Amino acid sequence: MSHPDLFALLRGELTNAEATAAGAHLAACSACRAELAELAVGNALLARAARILTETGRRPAPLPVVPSLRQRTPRRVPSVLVTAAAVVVGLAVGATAVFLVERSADESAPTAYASVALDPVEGSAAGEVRMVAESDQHTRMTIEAPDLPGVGTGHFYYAWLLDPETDKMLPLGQVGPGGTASFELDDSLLAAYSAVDVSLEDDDGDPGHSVTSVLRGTYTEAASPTTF
Amino acid sequence: MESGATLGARLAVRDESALEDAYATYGPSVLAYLRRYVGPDEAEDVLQRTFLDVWRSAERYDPDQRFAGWLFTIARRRAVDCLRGRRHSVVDVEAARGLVGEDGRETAERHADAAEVRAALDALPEHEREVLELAYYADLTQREIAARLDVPLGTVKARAARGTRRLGTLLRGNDDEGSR
Repeated sequence: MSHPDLFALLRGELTNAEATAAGAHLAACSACRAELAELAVGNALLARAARILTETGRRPAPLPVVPSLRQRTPRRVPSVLVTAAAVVVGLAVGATAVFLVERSADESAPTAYASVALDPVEGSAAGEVRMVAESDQHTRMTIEAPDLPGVGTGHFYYAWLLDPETDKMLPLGQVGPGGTASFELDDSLLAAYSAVDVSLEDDDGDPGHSVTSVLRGTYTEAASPTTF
Repeated sequence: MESGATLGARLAVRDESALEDAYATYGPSVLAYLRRYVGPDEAEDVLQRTFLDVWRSAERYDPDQRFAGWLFTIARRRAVDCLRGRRHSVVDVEAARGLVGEDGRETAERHADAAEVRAALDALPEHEREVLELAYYADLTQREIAARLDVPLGTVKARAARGTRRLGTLLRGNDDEGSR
């Protein structure tokens, strides 16, 4: 038998039959045992780190982007470094006071969470969805698709959240004439779906999704931990 | 990967670039911790105060102590100060429990652990890091990762195994240099 996939074994990706066969193989193969010992350490470290980051019961959020240490515009916070340097030359009290006061007056920009491309489903228009964490539980989703063609009377564009696997949909709201729309969403709701869909609707009183999707973008990908 | 103990030693001799390096390596993890326990509005303030404190008290850093542990101890103290300083808003009981007393110390230690793993992940070659993040943080199988990245399954398997081994080695290196 060829050597089993030990990473898959550790991650619980093997079938029962494969896992027990891997066990039997390990009993006879010292090279695989040595390999498993090394992999087990890395697996343990990563699995625990992931669990610590999900202690609130959610998927690990992408790590926030820290403000730059050297970030300096006249009205902004003196950076830690600048402040720290001032401490070194003996201006500790004054510098710290400035630091705290200016800092509290500063309205820090919300952290960009993810940006997702909206790709054409029908037609050729494209767009972008930006998702910004507003608080612990809320995300602001902004749709920008300025080159959506005009629709004329009796039609409008409408945005939805979509779970492509089950085709479950949540109506978000109308996309304005400039191709923009913005919604504040509960994170738990956001997590129950994985894509944004923009449809072309007839003003026919039917609240369901029409047959025409014009744009779609999957946000779970962009929100994956590559943006950590 | 530069070990935490080396970073601490550079800070202790007032190497300004060490502060930047520490901020780049651990800042996001500390900020994630602070956001959880003091909330998103004040987390960045407390983050800045934490690193200001790190710089000021760097000469008291004991190289035998784990750097990430020391850093998160400071972050926890500044977070507690922040909750104490709140006059009007109600302090969230869960958040307070996550910071204060023995539980709070343990939580900070756990987050220091996670931050070390994060730093080691960041030190891996890009391809390996990407695969491991998708496996552990997004909970995808190797097959799903192959589909997501559009690379052959065999390539994913090779990267996953190599990265996992390398990660273990990186953290072991840390312990050897700065055993606590």
